[in-house]
Amino acid sequence: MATLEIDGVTKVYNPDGPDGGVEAVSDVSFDVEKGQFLSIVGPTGCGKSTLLKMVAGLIRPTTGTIRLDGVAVTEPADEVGIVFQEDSTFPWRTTLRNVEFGLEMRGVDRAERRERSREIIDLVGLSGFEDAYPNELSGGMRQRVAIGRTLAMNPEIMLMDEPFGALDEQTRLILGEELLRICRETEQTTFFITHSITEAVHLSDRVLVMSARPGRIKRIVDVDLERPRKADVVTTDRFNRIVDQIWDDLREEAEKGLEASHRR
Amino acid sequence: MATSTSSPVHRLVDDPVTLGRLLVPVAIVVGWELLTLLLGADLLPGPVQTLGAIQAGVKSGWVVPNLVNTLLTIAMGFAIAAVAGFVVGVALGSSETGYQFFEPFVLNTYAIPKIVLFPIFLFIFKLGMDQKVAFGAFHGFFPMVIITMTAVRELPDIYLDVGRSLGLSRLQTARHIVLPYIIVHLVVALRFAFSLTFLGVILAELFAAKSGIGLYLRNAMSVFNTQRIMAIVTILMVVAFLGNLAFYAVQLYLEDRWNLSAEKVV
Amino acid sequence: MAVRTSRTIRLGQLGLLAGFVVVLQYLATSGLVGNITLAAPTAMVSTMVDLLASGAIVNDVVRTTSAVLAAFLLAVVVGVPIGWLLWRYGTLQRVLDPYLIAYYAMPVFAFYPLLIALFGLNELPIVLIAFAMSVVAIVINTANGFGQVREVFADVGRSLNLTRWQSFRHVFLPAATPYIFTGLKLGFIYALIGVIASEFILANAGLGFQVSYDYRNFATDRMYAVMLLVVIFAVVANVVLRRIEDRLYRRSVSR
Repeated sequence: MATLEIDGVTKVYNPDGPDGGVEAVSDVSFDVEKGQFLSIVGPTGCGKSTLLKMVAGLIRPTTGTIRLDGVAVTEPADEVGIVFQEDSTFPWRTTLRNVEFGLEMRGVDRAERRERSREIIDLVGLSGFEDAYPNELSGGMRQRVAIGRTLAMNPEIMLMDEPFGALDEQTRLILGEELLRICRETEQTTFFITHSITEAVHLSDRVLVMSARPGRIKRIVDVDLERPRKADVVTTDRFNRIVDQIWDDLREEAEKGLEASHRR
Repeated sequence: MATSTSSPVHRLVDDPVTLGRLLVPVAIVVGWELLTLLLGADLLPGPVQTLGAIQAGVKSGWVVPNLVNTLLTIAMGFAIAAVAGFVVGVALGSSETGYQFFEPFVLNTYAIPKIVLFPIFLFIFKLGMDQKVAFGAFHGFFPMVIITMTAVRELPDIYLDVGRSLGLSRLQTARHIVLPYIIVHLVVALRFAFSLTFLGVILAELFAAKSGIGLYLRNAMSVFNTQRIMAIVTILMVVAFLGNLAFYAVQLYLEDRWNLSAEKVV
Repeated sequence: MAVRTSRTIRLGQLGLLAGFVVVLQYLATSGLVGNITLAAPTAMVSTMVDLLASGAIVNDVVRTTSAVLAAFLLAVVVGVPIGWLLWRYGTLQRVLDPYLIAYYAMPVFAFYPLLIALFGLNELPIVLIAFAMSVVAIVINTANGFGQVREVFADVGRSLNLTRWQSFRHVFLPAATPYIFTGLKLGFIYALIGVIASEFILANAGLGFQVSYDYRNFATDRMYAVMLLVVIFAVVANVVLRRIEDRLYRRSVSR
């Protein structure tokens, strides 16, 4: 049994509205095995975020099922952790208190959650910053805190919605490397949304390429580059061939999208 | 799209917010009447009685001249507060040093109950209209300065850079870049200046005046003439409300037209 | 053009204050301004110290302070929940918005004579007026405070499946706190202004009353002494509240 099973999922917004509503996601099916890193790339508006929200249990699919460890997802659960693109650290809490937030809300006692949080802070590379407030940290460090808060809950699957999107190029690359290390150490199953094809191929085991709206899976690419992925993997032929292929797919979709909007 | 049977009444009822807003004054009047019934009309005259008292007052001639007197005082005080406040506000807003230096003085004086300084005004200006105008202006000056100053400081440097790169003179910059940007805030500032000048003048008239509607309020208070008190209070509230509404309408219009917004609570 | 250091500015400000005091002292002692009109700063301070030390002013200090606290606490207890209600029920907020803005602008103080007629010359009208002047600032700033909480914080709460109460207590409330405090600061200042103004216009005790009483009895030294006391009290309160406010904002608003 795969950790995440998505079967025939469709999402229609406003189904009773004029023209039968907006179909954001159409008949999507795929699995994510335990410990896998899966990325989704696709043109803007292709439903990536919608799909993520459905996996998170924040919204329900119109048709189809989403199963986590065999159990249907109907509402947000501890087993699913989310890292948002926007800075979501609580400015009134220190790093330590931010990371332990989920545990605290679950009623874990202080000693236990402090210990776990310190481990996580070490894991995400923020040792020494336990007592710093977010406004003393850089954007990249704050995202580490957000990631730490999610990991502290030990989720079955970690959903990341363009987590590095608001950061500059350098920080993106560094955090990408860090994320690879963390996921390797924890064998964390990860579902990652990004605009950057290079980032997707660099980090993932598989890349889902989505079509323009209504979002369908255009192609699933197995990235069989060896792990651990070194920084220089981006210069290899194999890497660039995969990137080019996805790039072609996306360009096709983008052109289709453009045509459609012109016709309208 | 089919049009519903939209008589004006239907359209009104469809929008709960507008409906709600119209109901508020109705609720106030109803609540007032209920209070009157509860406390007795001798203690608290009701809406109808108060209206009658106002009418009687207008007819017997004390309402209008005194109201006009007060309003004139307010207008003069407001004008002074607005101009002085604008000039000082812009000056302090444009100069970082000026701002750093004077800001504590301005903000702390704003927090002082200025009524306690009123005797000083009486000493300087003696009894008469001047002291009321001055005291009112003193009240209205501060929000005018504070809001204007903050608005000028918030002006993004990039706009000034554009002006400089186009070689604009200081006056041109002020007129074509600074002014349009801050104008919404200016209207807010004027609104607050008006309200506070209003309050200042009323306070002055309540304490030491030879004319004005505040004086009549003071007199009515001394003899417990609740009818007259309510009449005057109602007049004051309505006038203040209308004045505020006028400024607010201009503010909304400007915000809408230029897609700016002014969130300011002072 | 060099930016002055904050130390230079501080010195300059103290200099300005000192200069102001020196001018007043000169005007008073040289006889240029009659001593019915102006008391020398030295006399102001010494009279104020006397009044405090001898306990002559204690009763009034207590009256004023208790009225301010009563009005303020009442405004907090009433205003914060109403502010929360307005945020919780957006339609209600939209309906009341123009009226709240108008209320803020109206001389609520004008009701004081009516309250005196209703309740007599005692603390109750004073507390009520000060409450009425104080509460709106608290309501508006509380509603704003909750309203400006970033969407992503709510998302975090939802993704962790927090209960309604947990979400409020651990996410919305801390996020709104600096803004709510701004309302509290303003509320306190307006309560103070309301109390002093009421006492000044008509009352039988209190610091505001003492100033107007001394004015009418030409007790100039005493009048200025009490004035000074009120000014010091107001400024100290304002400075303390602003310091706390600054600290709350500095920590809590990160970008």
